[in-house]
Amino acid sequence: MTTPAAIERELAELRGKTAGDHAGTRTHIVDLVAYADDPAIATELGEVVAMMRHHRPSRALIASGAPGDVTAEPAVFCSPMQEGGAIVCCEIVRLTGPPAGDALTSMIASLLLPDLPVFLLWLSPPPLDRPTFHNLAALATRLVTDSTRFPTTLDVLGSVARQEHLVVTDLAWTKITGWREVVATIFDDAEHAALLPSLEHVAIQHVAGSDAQARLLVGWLATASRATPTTSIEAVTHEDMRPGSLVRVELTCGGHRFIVDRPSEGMATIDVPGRPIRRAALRVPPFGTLVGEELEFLAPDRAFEAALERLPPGAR
Amino acid sequence: MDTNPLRDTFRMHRVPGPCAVVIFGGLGDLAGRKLVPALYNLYLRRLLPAGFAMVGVGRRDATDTEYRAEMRERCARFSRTPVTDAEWEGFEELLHWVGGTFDATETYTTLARRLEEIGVARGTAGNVMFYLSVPPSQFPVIVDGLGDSGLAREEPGRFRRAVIEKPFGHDLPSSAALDAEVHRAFKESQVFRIDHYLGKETVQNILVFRFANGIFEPVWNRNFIDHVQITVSESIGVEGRGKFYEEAGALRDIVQNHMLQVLSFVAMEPPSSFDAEAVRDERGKALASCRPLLPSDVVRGQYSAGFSDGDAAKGYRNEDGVAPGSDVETYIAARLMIDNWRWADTPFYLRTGKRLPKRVTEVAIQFKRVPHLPFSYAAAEQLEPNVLVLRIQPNEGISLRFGAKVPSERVQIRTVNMDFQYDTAFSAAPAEAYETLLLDAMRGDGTNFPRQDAVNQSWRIVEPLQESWTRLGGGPHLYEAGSWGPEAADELLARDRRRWRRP
Ligand SMILES: NC(=O)c1ccc[n+]([C@@H]2O[C@H](COP(=O)([O-])OP(=O)(O)OC[C@H]3O[C@@H](n4cnc5c(N)ncnc54)[C@H](OP(=O)(O)O)[C@@H]3O)[C@@H](O)[C@H]2O)c1
Repeated sequence: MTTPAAIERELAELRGKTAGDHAGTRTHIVDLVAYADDPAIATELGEVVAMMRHHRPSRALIASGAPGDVTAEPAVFCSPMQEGGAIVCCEIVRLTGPPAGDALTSMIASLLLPDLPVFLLWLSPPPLDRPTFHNLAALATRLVTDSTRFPTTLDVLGSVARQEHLVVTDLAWTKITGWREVVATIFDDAEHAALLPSLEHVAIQHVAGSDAQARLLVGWLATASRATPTTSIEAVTHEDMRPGSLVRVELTCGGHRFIVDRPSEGMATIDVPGRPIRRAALRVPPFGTLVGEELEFLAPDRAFEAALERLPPGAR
Repeated sequence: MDTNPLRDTFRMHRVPGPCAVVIFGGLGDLAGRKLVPALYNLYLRRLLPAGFAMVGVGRRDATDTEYRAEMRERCARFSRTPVTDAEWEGFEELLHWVGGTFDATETYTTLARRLEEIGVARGTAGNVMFYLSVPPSQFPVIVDGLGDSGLAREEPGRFRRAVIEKPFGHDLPSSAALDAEVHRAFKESQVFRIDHYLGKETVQNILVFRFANGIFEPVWNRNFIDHVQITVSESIGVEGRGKFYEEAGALRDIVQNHMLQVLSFVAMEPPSSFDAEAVRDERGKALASCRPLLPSDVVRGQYSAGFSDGDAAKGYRNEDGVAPGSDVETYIAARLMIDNWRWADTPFYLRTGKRLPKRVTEVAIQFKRVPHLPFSYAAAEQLEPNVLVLRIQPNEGISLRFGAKVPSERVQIRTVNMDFQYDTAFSAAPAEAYETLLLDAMRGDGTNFPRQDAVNQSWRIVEPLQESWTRLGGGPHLYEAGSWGPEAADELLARDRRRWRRP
């Protein structure tokens, strides 16, 4: 039977060992708590966090459900933040425990570092209405979900946020930041901005597997333009892009058509009437970077909350 | 830009409005090593506006394609993120070259025509920022060219800006003359003077540290602070820039600009807002309160042969491009007094040099001793006064030294460090100064650029030194490469019963 004190002792020892000659410092930014029903997802997340170079959590408690007693596997990862800089350590505790009941969540509560915001990364499909979620949500400053992985999460997130009084975001939203920025550039031109309220139609192509990113982009465009566009969302296959990634966005505004295309990873083309085709950098960051980006923010993301309210129906 | 409702939805939006950036000296060292790589990284971070183009101008005859190829090579060497094909292809379309000498009218006619064409193609909306990345001797020529050709003229809804690099003159009269030159074509609000120190995250943080926390500002004055030490030390020598350095010296290269700017952040009064003018007004006032430096309060040094970073190092006079009998200073230690209510009688000691033991830039605030120590002499023998150190580079951070009881049965007090490191607190590497500054200038935010009044003030502060050195002659004290400077610098502080920190 493991205890929080034993885990703390082991972490302190590992920190000394892993950092080598240089005393390893733990960051003091955030606690990350993650829960996945599927142990494989929890393991994957553990690996991702261990590889994160920047914006990493001070302590990550990554749990998945399993029958029997609570088990814990503490680990410490240390590296310098910049060449010659201080060695910074991140602690990761991989936990398993009964998916129902309070054993696992009480262990997590006692392992949180004091005074830090807590990010709850919920990597399980809906429904969220279950005790483990409630217990963890009660500890959390902010809830982060991943609807690229579990698309129907988007349909419950708004009400969960209200019920649990939580600040929420979704990694699918973080993923489309680049797309939003590229689309936004079209309307930096005052002439085009004037057309935005007459946004009539949004057509999106995305890689099959999840329509979450596409729906969020539509929700965003609908709220920010204050228009009520019709929508078409189409799943396509694209070998070298990840499931759910956006491929093409076509906006019809006041009879004009604006097209952003992503022919390959890293680059988008922007086609605006009367202008030569323009290119823009558009690389969707990997999972670890997305998680890191989210850990940077504490305040509610109003644009996301608004987009949630204007989602087009999902393909189910 | 403000009319784009989509922009308001981003958690971090700093993207400037459309504009073209013209770099005079576009094939020069600074352009290839800092400016274009900074623009490339801004492109990757999607912080360049959609309507953007860059035009390099210089005397070399080159096509756009040749210019792009050359810049790709430089970016491959100097960019902080690697150059990849897909991303470079998107970026290089934004780069253009105009060949021509700076004194020829045709250069500006051609430039105007290309800007017109590129502006239409790329949607830069007629906004242009001219970056003078050329030796200062070329400033007047280019400013005149821009003025005479009408390129400097702003119209409603269309900005024209000039970014200039240090040195801003070499003394007060030449700085005033340069200023008059620049103002022949540009108003002060159009001018952005680069001091790359002000682009550093940690320098900007001095203001946040002082004015966003309740516990520091109440003690930030002569009642609690004994003195302040500002150190800018480098372990390198002049590194092949001997010829340039012979004209500058440590006083002009570091003290007059970077150090006095940093000092102004430490010494300024709270601004009424974080608006560019309010902040610069206060920084300007702080400099205006500084007494001019007197030769008796300054020690000049020059490095002789020694060891640096474990290797034998030449003396300054044996460096390439340096006169064998050169009296140019590679080291300065100074005692500077500020005549105002906050700082009266509180010296600011400044120290900078090349070939010192390590590279470090820091501000150390040394507090007064406690009025009475209720411990035995033996217990408190090793106790030192509190010091707050703002580390600007490397290991950006803040540390506080205070006394603590040594664990034992007796009372024994020792000074310990409480350390805050940027790295470990935010686990993120700070942004490149040139990226920050280019973005600020494109957005028209002058907060992190010294205004002319500050430049004039800083020349006023160092002027008596320059004058007396020329008049009286005499040379610098020699110090061995790899040491912390000449002994005379220690004596300067010993006079005040103080000593230099060892950073
Ligand atoms: N380099 C740095 O790290 C650094 C740091 C701080 C400040 N600065 C300042 O930044 C500015 C540019 O520095 P830099 O090192 O890039 O200078 P640079 O390489 O010596 O010169 C910049 C460009 O100016 C051109 N040029 C010089 N003299 C000219 C003339 N008589 N007619 C036409 N073109 C001329 C050169 O053209 P060619 O290519 O044809 O020779 C070169 O491309 C200077 O004001 C410098 O003080 C530089």
